[in-house]
Amino acid sequence: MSTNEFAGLEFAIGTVRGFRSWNGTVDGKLQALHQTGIWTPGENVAECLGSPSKDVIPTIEGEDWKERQAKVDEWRSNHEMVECQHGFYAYFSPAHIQAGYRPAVHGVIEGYGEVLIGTKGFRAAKSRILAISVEPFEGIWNLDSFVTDKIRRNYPGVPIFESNFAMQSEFPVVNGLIDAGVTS
Amino acid sequence: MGDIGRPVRHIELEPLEEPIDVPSTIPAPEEVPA
Repeated sequence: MSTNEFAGLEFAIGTVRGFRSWNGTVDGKLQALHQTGIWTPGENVAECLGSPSKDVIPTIEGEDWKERQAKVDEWRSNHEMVECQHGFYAYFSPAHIQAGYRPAVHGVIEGYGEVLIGTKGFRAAKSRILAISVEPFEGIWNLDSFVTDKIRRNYPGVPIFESNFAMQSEFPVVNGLIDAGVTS
Repeated sequence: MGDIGRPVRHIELEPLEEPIDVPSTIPAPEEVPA
């Protein structure tokens, strides 16, 4: 993947919706499946923890590690999504969401800010949780009711559904683009 | 990491409406609404 595959960064009004899942912690917080970060209510802003390739920041023998770290920090805060893998991930079909290592919680999010849209889903620099489903994942990862209660308290204002079907009915994901005014 | 498939668009999206002013923090137990 390279920036050459795109005509350039487009601008539009709107957000993109998708399905995703989290690990549900015992204290009712939603944790990313492959990261340690906890999602919050309201706006979540992605933080890049990646490392630039040697092509971007060459390794210099004997370089002071603080100077190198400063370069890495600068790169982390000033590069486009196409250069690494950071961002909040979501998918256009519930079939593409994954189970967690702990009881899985499913939901619908909206992404905005810088967004890379793919054929299956997207990753976005900013995101908000629109809805949560506490339906057990394939009947295995059943959330205890006290955890569900804590999720309700930790994410005020976010509708919580007992089934994925009910959530999807209320928060449909249609081609990933909702109210965006984006044309292909 | 997840798989979003083949990248098709790189876009900067500005929400149509101002987001509802919800604090981006998990409420502390004493702040939890009744």
